[in-house]
Amino acid sequence: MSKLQIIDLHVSVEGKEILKGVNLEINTNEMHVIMGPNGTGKSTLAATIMGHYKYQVTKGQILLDGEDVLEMSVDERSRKGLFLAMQYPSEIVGVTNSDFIKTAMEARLPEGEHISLFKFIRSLEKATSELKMREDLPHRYVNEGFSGGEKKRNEILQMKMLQPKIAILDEIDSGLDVDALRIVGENINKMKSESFGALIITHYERFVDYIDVDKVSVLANGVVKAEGGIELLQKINQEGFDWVLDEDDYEEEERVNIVGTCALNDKLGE
Amino acid sequence: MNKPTLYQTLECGLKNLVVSTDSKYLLNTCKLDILVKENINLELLIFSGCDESDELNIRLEKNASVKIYNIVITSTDVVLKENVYLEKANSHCEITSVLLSKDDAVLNSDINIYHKVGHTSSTFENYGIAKDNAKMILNNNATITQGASKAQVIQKAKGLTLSKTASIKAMPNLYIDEYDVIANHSASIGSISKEDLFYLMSRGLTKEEATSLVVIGFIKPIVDNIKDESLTEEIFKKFINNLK
Repeated sequence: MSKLQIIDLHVSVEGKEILKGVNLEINTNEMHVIMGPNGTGKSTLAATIMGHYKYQVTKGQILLDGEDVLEMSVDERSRKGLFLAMQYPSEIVGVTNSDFIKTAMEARLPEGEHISLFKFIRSLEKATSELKMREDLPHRYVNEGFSGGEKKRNEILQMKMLQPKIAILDEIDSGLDVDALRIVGENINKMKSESFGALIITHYERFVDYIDVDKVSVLANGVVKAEGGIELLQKINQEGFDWVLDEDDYEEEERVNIVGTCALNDKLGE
Repeated sequence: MNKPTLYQTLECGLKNLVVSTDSKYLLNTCKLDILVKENINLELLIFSGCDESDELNIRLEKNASVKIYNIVITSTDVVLKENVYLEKANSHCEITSVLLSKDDAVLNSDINIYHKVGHTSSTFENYGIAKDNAKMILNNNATITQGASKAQVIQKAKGLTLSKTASIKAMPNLYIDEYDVIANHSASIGSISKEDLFYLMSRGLTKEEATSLVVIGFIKPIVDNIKDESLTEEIFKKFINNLK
C-alpha cells in the first residue's frame, strides 16, 4: 500500500497564487476523481505534484509514503512511483516510442542492469494491443504526428509499462472518441490494485462510468470545496458547480483595455 | 571501430586521389585533393574526433557526384575545411555534417562549394551541437559564378546548444553572380525545450539521460542515412559517451 498526501498546498505561477491550501490524500487501490470549474487549479495541482518548473510551492507539503516529494527532482519522483499523464504531451522527434519506454524502464533498474529485449517487446506488444493501438506505434517517434487521441493512449501505454504507484491523469479523456474513452477507462480501471491508485482529473462523467470510483473531490478557486463518493458526480452532473462556489469565488474579471490602431497611432504621435 | 563492409578505409598520408570507379571511403582527417572522374559517384565518410586541421579539395567532372558525411566530435579546437568544385555540367554534391563540440573547444566548419558551370547542384545540411563552453562556427559558402545558370543550391543549418555558455554561429552564405538559378538557405539555433526535458524526466530519466535522448533524436534521422549498421552504431555510441 502507498499513500500520497497533499497538505495545505499553496502554489503560485509568476507571482499569482493558484492553489490556496489544498488538502488531499490518494491511496493505492483507490480511484480518486477530481473535478471543478475551468481555471481552478486542477492542472496546476497535477503539474506541481510532478515538479513542473513553472510552479512554485509557497507553502505546504507533498508526501509519498512519508517521504518529502518536494525535495525530489522530477525524475526521482517518477522513479519513486509517481506518474503524470499529461494533457498536452511533448513530441520528441527522432526518439522512437519503444526506445523511450525501454530507457524509462531501465532508469528504474540498478545501474548497468538492462531489461531483456524479448520480455520488453512482449510486454509492449501486449499493452499496445490492450489499448488497441496501431502496431507501428513502437517504431514511431514519441507523439510525433499522433492524433490527440493517440497521444492520450500513448500516455496510458507508458503508464502501463512503467507501473507507477500513484498516477495523476490530467484530462486524459479529452480528445478521445467514444470507443477510445471506453478502452482507456477500462485499461486504467484494470490497473487498480494494492500497488496502484490514481488521481483522475476530468470534466466528463461519461469517462468515469468506466472507472470504479472510490472518492470524488471538487476543486474550486484553489481549494477543495467538497469531498465525497460517486454521489457527488451525479450532483455535479445535475447541478453543475454553482453550489460549491461562494460569492468570493466569483472574482471580478480584470478589465482589459483594448487599444485600437488609431489610438496607438495617436500615442505614437502619428 | 568495427570495419564497415561498405566503406574502404583511406590511409592518411595520401596527397592526391583520382576516383575512376564508384567508391565509398572512410576517411580520417588529412589533407587531400580528390578528382572524381566523369559519371563516377563517390561517397566519403569523415568520422573523426581528432584535433588536427583538415582540408579536402574535391573536383568533379561531368555527371560525377560526391556525397560527404562529416561526423566530428571534438573537445579541442578543430578546423574542418572542405572545398568542392563543380566544374562540369550535371555534377552534384551533397554534404551532411553532424558535429559536436564540447569542453572549451572551438569547432570551425568552413565549407565552400563552387558552382563553376550551369546545371550543377549542391545540398548542404549541418547539424551542430555545442555543450559546456564550446563554440561552433558554421561557415558555409555556396558560390554560383557568372555563367552557371540553372545551378541549384540548398543550404540548411540546425544548431542545438546544451548549456548557457555554449554557442553556435551559423552563416549559410550564398554568393550568386548569375540569373536563373535556384538557391535557398536556412538556419535555426536553439536549446532543448524545457517542456520536453520535463516530459522525459517525468518518466524517470535524469536530466543527463533526457538530454542525451533528445540529442540522439536530433541526429538519428541523419545518421540513419549512412547505410552501414556497424558504423552508425559506433557513431551513436561515441555521441552518447561524449554527451556524459
